[in-house]
Amino acid sequence: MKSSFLIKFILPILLVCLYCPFSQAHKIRIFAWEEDGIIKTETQFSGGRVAKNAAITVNNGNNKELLSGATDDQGIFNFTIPQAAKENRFDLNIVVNSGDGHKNSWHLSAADYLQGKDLPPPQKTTNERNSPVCVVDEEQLTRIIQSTLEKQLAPVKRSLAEQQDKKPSIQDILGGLGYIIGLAGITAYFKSKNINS
Amino acid sequence: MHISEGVLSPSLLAAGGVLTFVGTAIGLKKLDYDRVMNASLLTATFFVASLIHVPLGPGSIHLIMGGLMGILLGWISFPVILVALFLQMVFFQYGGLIVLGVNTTIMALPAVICFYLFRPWFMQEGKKRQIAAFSCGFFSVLLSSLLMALALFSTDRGFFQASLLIIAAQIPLMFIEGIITMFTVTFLAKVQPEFLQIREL
Repeated sequence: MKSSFLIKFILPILLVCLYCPFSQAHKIRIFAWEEDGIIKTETQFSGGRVAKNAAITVNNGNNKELLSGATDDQGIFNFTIPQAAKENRFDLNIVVNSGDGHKNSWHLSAADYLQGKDLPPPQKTTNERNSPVCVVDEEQLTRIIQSTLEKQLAPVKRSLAEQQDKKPSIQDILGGLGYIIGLAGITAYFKSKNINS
Repeated sequence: MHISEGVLSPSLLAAGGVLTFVGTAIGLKKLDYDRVMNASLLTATFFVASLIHVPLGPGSIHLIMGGLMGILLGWISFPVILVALFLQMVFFQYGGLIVLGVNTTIMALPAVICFYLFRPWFMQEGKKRQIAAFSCGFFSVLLSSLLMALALFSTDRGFFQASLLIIAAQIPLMFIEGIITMFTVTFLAKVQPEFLQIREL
């Protein structure tokens, strides 16, 4: 009796669940960081599932749209820093909308993504072209160090950006339960007054 | 099931707010001393249940427990869900203050509807009670997803596709909630029948 119940009832449901490509979530998360002149964004739902094909809009500080696009299969959307944003040092507001009622945004300030990007473009001197000995001046050295540092720091930047959006912790959960107990106490107190009177 | 801030139109937000206000007022009026503990236990269940994600296939699902709340509490589901959603907003940043009314209505209104539809069956012993419990779990999720789809669709016609996807996405959950509500009610009827308040109502 029990096994037939399992086969007839629970198994089909589990199969439906396994084939169902969608699921629900509470919240969509987005985080963004700059890497080598490109702004990388990653989106995922609160359960950790990546948000595929979610609409991304990049606005400047005054909510004027600079560019838009959609995330790929890994929930990633990359774009080169728009020229207008570079020139005017706009703070970027990157908004993600998954279309099912979930929306979130990430604020990337100009200071964060333009750090060290104000060096003039490299100029080849006649001395450099003709001489067999490579002479590296201070500016070139800065550039080399900067590009190496950027490569090394990219994973750190990503992880820092990811951690800024914190997940529910055990303290949050216990705190919430504490509030519920407190509210129950208050309600019980007032309702008991009604009984007594 | 938590709609974010800035998605819905102001008129819809206002409508949700009014419905939640009325529902909560009726719920608080109906909440008597004997049911305060039941209500707070279910608030805690609702508050925590949505944190437990069960990985299933490529995604994950979580329980809502709207059906169980509906059949046990009726109109009291409104204040219970309002408090739980408010705490989830404060602690976990789910949803938002402005959409709190709409989110509460989306989850509490189906619970109340289920109460009126299935409570008579629920009062009877045996199979009928199990069927009523399963239906409550099933229909509360179905009605919630319909309300959510309707809310998104009425704000922006472009959400039509997404609205259909939302309903499709909830299908597995409808069955799971139904089964879990059924087992919970059967278990409670055996060990703690007073929790179900079958005699008083």
